[in-house]
Amino acid sequence: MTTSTKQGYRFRRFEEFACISSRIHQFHPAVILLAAFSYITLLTSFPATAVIELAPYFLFPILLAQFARIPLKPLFASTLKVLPMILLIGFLHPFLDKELAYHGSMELNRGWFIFISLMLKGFLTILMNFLMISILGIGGLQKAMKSMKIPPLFFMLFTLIYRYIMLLLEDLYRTLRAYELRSGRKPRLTRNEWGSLPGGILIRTYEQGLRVQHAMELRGFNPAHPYGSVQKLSIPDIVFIMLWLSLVVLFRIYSLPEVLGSVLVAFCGEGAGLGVLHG
Amino acid sequence: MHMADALISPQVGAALWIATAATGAYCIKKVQHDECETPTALAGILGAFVFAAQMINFSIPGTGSSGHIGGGLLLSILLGPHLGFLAMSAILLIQALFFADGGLLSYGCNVFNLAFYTCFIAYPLIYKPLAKKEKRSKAAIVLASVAGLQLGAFSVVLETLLSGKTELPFGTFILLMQPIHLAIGLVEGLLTAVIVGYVQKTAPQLIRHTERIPENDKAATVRQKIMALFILAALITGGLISWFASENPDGLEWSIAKVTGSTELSSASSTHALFSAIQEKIAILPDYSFKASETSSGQSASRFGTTFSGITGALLTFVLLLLTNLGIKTFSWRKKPVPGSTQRDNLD
Repeated sequence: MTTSTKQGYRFRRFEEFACISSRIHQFHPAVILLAAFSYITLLTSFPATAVIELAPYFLFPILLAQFARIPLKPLFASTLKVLPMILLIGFLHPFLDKELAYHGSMELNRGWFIFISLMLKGFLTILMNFLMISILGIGGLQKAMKSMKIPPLFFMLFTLIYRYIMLLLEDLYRTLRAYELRSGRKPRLTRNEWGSLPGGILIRTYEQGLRVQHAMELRGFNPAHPYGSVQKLSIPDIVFIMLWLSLVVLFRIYSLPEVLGSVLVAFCGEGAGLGVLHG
Repeated sequence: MHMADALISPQVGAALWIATAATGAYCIKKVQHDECETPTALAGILGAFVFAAQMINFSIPGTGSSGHIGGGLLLSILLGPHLGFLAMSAILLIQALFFADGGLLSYGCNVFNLAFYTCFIAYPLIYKPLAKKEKRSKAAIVLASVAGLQLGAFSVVLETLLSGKTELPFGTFILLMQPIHLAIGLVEGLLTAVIVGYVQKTAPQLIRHTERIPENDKAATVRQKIMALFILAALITGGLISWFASENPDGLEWSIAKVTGSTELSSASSTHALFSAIQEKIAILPDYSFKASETSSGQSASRFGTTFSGITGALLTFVLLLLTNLGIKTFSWRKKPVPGSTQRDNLD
């Protein structure tokens, strides 16, 4: 499969996920956007060496995906494909930062902690990003932008680019396929075609754009006044976002693994103590 | 060069979000007021072209590798810097949301690194003055592409270090980022130049600068040259001359030290303590250097810290100046037109 068809497939898959019917999909789009944004902001606010503290943050995307009936496997796969970019920056740390650091009784180079923390944060932020777009889709995102009073010119431009990409990817696929077949299966453009092939597509695109613009204007299109009503916030929306924000902030302030660990140790210690007394 | 959310701290992310939103708002105002601006649908389809064109692999002779076109500059040339910036911002949003090329929090940083420098620094200050003569147009594109990418790469280093998410030393990070982006900038510039050259031959009406800058607009050229010199001077002053900045206290601190025995005034009030604690938390470069816990101690780290804060300060001052200027212009647009004058008169 060529890159252009893979990209088109990815767009369509997110759109399919956004069409699933679930309670999460019915929430106000701005609420989902705010939930994702708050999650990412608080996750990235942890110190560079935080590792154990990040564990509770796995719960949010997993539970959200379950409630939204979105399969996690393709989202995990897409996330893992992007991670090597963070790996590139992270892998230098264990070699550069050899100062000792402690996590409880665990002793390790500080660089390793930074590396693991970076990878975990990268994984979780990308996963949440994909999950958010799987719930919203392009339509939801447009509604969220509209309700957040983002200037219509920008979100119209955003939507138009998104819609045209689908058309252009197919056109590009056909052009590149034709080039490949006529050039003896060359995978890349040689120097002679650097200007003519993309330049030709560009001119064709420009002319097509003008025709589309004229057609839209003739039908009364005005980017400053887009159609469609804005969804109002409901009580379930407010309950969901309040609950989400409180949990995300709570896990940022208190480290759940440490609290659970200390409770367990206290409980076991007490039990062991009692056992000794009874014995 | 897209930055991931994991590499950004909320403070840096928020600051760049604000800067991007302000620039975006200015561009929207400008596009809405500019009567001869390119239509939205056309901008949309050209934005989609830039996105789709990233899929084309151009073989680079003698290296065995491939490159792709630089979007920001091409969009600026075709649509003008304002609509180009907006189109580029929309492309970056699609890339961030659907392909995780970037992220939600780091969106502001990515727009700044990939769109702002090409649309508002490289295009008006390098490409436009140089491309007035057709012979120099290709060289102008290559130069503008290299400059835009170098500034972007430098910004990535600054933003990452300011975020404190990685412990890569400033020098090592710069050495990793700048040379590779010099090569990428050259390739991207060359590819963009060839495409623009082709379009210039076959459909010259699409190239925007010829109608945007009249040949006799000497004042605009002089202004651009002054701006370029200012940026260069600010970077040199902030980056190099700050190495020789005195570490001794300044006049006021010296006087306070003579009276109290310390360069800092202490206060027992709880309000002062609260704001000191907040300042300590949010200050990215306390005393114009890195926080002690974030770098290894030593003179070299301190010098890098000074250089770093010098360049950052210079850039921030420049951005602040631009934003103030934009604010004044925006305010002046809102004034009611004087009877008898045209709308264009009021804009100027």
